[in-house]
Amino acid sequence: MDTSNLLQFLLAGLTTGSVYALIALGFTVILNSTDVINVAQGEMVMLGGVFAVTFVKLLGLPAGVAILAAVLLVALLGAVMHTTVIAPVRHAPPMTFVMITLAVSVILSSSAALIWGSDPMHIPSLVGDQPYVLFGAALAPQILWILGVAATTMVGLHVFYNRTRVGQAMLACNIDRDMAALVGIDVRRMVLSSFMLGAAMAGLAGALVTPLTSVSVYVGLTYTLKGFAAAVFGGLGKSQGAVVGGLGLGLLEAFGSGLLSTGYRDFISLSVILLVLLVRPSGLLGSRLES
Amino acid sequence: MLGLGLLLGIGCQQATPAAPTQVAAATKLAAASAPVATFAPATAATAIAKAPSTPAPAKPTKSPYKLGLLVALTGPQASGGSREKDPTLFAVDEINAAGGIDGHPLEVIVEDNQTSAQVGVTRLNKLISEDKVAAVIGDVGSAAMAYSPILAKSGVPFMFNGATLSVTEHGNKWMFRDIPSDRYVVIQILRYMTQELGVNRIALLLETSAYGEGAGQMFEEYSKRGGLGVEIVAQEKFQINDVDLTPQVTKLKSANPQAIVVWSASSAGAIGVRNARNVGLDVPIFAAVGMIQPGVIDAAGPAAEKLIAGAYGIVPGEDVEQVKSATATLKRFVKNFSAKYPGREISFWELMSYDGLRIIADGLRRAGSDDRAKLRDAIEQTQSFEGTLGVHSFSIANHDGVKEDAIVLMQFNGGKWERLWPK
Repeated sequence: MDTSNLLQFLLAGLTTGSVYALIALGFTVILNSTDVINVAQGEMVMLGGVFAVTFVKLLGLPAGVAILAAVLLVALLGAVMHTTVIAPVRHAPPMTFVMITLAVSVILSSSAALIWGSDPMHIPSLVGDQPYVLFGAALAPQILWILGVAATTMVGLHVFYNRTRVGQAMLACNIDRDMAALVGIDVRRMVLSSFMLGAAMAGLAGALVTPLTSVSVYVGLTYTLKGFAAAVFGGLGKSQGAVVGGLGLGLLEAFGSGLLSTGYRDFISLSVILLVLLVRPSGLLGSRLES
Repeated sequence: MLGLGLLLGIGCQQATPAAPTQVAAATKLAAASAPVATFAPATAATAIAKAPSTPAPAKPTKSPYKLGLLVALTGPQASGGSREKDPTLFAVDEINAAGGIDGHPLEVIVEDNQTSAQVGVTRLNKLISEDKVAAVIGDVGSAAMAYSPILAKSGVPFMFNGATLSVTEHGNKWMFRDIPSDRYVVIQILRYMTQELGVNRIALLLETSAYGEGAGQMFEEYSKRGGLGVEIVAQEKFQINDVDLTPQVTKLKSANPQAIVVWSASSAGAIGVRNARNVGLDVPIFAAVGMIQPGVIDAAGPAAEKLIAGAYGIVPGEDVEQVKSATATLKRFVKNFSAKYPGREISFWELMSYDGLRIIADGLRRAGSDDRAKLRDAIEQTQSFEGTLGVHSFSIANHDGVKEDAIVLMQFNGGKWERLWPK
């Protein structure tokens, strides 16, 4: 196996990995603010892609604008979801939320199938399709986009939480809602914003990846599973954990299928994750739930 | 609450048998247009003396002959499954409008297998024991092997709308197929490669499903034989919901093949084509028929250019009048179906569904009853039955209606499929 192949696997792993990382980050943001594992997260990814396709094909918007609009619409949908089925039962046990979000996930994918049908949909790449060649490895321009936007989002989220008042307020709500309320933070608004932010990140992942992979209304569950695996792998509830877990899962898949067997990709990546969790039950960077 | 209602609504829609609307539609069609009867002679050609010879088709009045349609209306394969329903029911409407089968109207009960073999098995059992259908038509996914023992035990003929190799090649005398087996697609691709391109080192990129793996076995079988002999220098697999196949195509590239074959019915296959071009695999790429489905090829983007795929009948966007190999039945179907469903793309899904129902109807007519065993024998005795995909003939040893002469290789040029070979 020569080095250009290894580089090719690395690029492939980083690309899928950063998509997983975005989804895992969305999980984390929502989990931290509401204690909800949002099983519908994958459907938000799907809708991000489907909305972007619709805006490009139906309204003729330029791809960049379409992606932005899709992300906003998914965030709005997140707000609707939070207001209608999450907030009214906010003291319910965690399993209730799993059931609620599972139901939402089925409703979203079935409704999407009714509206958009079951054919795969696709939009052209934002930045052309001619690949760059880097030390013998090919690099599609859209991959740079995904990596760039994902990295910017992750850094942005970090800065947002640590350097802005709203971010600090959200963080405060994550740590202790009652205390946050006592110091005058509008907890309800912060929790709603967090939920929208989490949905938006999933929508962004979907919109970004659609030019590379196309989207169909049935991809949601796969993304939910990958994003969740990534979040647990990195350390459930930690933003850095989500990023590490997402990239880790992507790289495991790429090198697992590249160096060992492509037919057993999921077997390989999930076995490694299982082993890591047996040694470190709270994930690579430790779970928030640990303390 | 609203959500729950929506869910229930969807559930009901799928579970409702099509029968009532069917009969209504049939009567409407009969009332509206008498010339519909013109389609009958082609069917009557192979039918024995029992075919209705009344000049004006009477409304069928005897007890209905029941058939099951078991397809994927939801789940990842729904894109194809939902294309099978309308043409099947369209054939039923035509037959009922022309007087049914010796006065028995056809009634089709539609069931959704949700792209799952488990669900498919329960629905199949329901069709057989509750609805008491005479025969079932349906798609494969990977369910054919799960259905096989049930069909053999209950003695129910099944017409498969699926090219997966194993369907007719594992000795179940109740299983028939209305489109060419993948065996013949593989043979045609290998012929073109060796005779026209002089290729003898190929690499395979296969979907992990009965569809992809069955084709892989075929290529291996023929690679060792003389004449079509090619060497398979690399073989990689992927799953139907994969989003990136870069590792796979990178490995294929290292083996330095002269051509690659992508066998898939999902957009993951198209992603593979794109990834292959991206890593600089500049050799001819061949694809399975599944790649011609609407929407699937889009995921390849500009990388789809020059892709070669097997096809049957006609492909979407093609003018049937310009197709030399088109049968009269195909031309008539395209005209009438497009009149009923304006703007609908017609692909092999529509054609095989239409042919499958009509082959069974022809069998029922010759069997003279809806007895399952008699119907099975009648289907097996079908000779030179003209359909849309070609002329179907079955025998004890052969349960594939059409073979390699029904296959054409298409090439994707400037955003549309064009006939490549045979000319």
